[in-house]
Amino acid sequence: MKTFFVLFFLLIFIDNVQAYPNFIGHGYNSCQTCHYNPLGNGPINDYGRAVGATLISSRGFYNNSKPEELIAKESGFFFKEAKNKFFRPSVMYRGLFLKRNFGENNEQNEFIHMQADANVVLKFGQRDQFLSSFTFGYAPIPRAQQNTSQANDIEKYRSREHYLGWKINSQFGIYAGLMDKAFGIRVAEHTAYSRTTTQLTMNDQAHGLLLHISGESYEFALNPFVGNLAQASNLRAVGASSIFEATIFEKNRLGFSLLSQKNDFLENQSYAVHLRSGFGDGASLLFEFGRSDKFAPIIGSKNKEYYSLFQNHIKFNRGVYLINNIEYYKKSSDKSYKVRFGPSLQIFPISKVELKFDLYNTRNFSRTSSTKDRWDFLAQTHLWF
Amino acid sequence: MLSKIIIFEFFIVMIFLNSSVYAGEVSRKMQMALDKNQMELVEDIYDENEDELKKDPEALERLAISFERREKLKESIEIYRNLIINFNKQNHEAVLQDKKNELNSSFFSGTKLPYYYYKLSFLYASLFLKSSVYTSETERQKFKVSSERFLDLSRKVGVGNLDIKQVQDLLSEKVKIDSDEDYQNSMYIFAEMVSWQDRVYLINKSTNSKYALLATNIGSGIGIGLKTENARYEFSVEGSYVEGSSSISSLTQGTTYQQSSVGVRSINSGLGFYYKGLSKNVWVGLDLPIMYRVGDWELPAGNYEFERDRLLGLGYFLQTKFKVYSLSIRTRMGKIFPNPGTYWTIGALYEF
Repeated sequence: MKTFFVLFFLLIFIDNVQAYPNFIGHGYNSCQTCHYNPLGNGPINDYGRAVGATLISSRGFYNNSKPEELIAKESGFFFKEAKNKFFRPSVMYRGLFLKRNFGENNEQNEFIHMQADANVVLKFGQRDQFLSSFTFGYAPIPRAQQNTSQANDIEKYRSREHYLGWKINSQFGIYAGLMDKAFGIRVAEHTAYSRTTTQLTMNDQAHGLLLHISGESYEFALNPFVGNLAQASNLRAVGASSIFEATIFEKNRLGFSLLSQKNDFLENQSYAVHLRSGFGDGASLLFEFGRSDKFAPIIGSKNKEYYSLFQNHIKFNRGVYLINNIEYYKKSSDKSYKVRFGPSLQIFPISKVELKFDLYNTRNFSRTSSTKDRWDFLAQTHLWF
Repeated sequence: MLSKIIIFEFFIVMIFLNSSVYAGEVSRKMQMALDKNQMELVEDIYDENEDELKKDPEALERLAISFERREKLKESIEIYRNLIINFNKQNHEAVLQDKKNELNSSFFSGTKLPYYYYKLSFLYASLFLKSSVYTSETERQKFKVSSERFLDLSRKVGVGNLDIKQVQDLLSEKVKIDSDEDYQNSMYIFAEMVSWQDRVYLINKSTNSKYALLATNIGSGIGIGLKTENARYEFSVEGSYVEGSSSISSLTQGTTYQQSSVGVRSINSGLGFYYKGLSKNVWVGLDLPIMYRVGDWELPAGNYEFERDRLLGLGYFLQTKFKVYSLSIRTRMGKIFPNPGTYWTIGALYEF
């Protein structure tokens, strides 16, 4: 049936990727429709590439007479049609121009190469049931560790994801390797409170197993992990996570997530409930509320942290989206909390190109002081070939 | 050798027959589900057996009917188009090229094209009819043009006059609605969360010194509004009452004024505008708010007074409204002068 929907979008409604959880607004409830990794993130499959080219991206650069079928065919590696069934290479780049505290005396401008990856997916079997994905590339040193002694130990060129997968049947799959942990909504913004609070940001992948079960109206994943084996053993976060998502109406998914992990410095138990809802033609709402209980054994400090994420993704036209983003973060150790409010403009001017402009207004609500808002402007380029 | 070939061919034929019989049985199950009005089951059966059923026009027709009955008109359209392209391409081309010789009586008995053309013209007209509120004019016109195109083809292949008239009526009904650009009035209520910052000054009357304070406020508001709208624009006027909590502290070095959880209240009003043409159910616009705000900050001991503890402010908001039936989620972000920082709101509206 999915074939029909793609064809429907491809061939009929010419007027109107990267695959993001917001695309539930286009009827894509599950990430595995477009991604090799069943929980999303990482390289997208042939179907996802075609959807990205013909549904998500603008066709403004194409001649009006160019059929969508042809655009879909050109969605492969460097705009070429795939010549075989088993080998899928790709490269990806994300760059960010960041203007921090703009309008203030301490305004800073910075350009960050966030990601420059090369990926190879090999897939075999009649149903592509045997799969391997290996990604290698540039990963910048996290800001907190720049200019520290730890920075010398961090490899700037390394793999952030590599795994082997076996889809035993249409419902059950097993994956083993270095992957993102199964938890919550995988929004692309790695600085979102939903990702920083739970410690699931751009460098928090772990080696482990991912057991994935999907039915027509639900998905379940269990992800035991032993930490990132490239890290020193005392830094490796060992534990397990799990996510369950169920379709409650046609384009609505309610989910629950659990995460338990610890290393020598921090123990983290996180819980979250989320809702993804699609509306009309390409609009969606994402909502996630979560809590992280953290314990630092060396200093004996306990803390509870709460976060919520609200994201409203609005399709203006094919290739142009507006995002309303509201986030909340609170620590139990003090009465203060933060709210980040901001609109974003997301443009897919052509297949394989994403431009995103975010404006973040962060406001602190504190009992002890009132501080000026912080404004950040982000301009991102994302290319995948 | 020959016997081996015959046996091999026999197996191939048996496999083919088996799969055809199987597809036929499953297709009949779809019909039974249709008869019982179990529309979602029709799609479920199709999904489970897609490989076999995608080659079976009857199964596809049943799927299209189930979509149509579930108001999934676009999906239904896609299936009929697929039936034309994949099963009736040659005849379709003959019709397009107006090859009158080929459009004889045997043509009509050997193809279901007339039925498919009629269904497509009807479905596009229905889409046109149902999309008066959320769909841009350009997109709606495409539905109309598509409907008229298939109506022409329906005429060519001899679809009955009554059926043709039914579609024409749908299209003309819409035209009547389209030509009616009259505004309709209605009322809405809303509840929202709001946050803003205030610049308040503390004045030492003895020394005539003036200290800048910054208050960060968060609260909730309820309100009521009147709106007038047509298919493209919406204008509104509304009023609300907001009650919140404020934290205030000094910005100037040398003063240590600080208070938290102080009550703030405001009465807000605004003139709003939305443009509906950009998206199906998300509207974008501007609002011109006016706010009268009172804060209960306490004066320190001594000869002090506040400036701007009561404030009348004017400003602007950029706003989006995400509408699903009578409920909407509205977000607004902007500025109310002379305050620093942004004023933002997120709330839910119910429209009567």
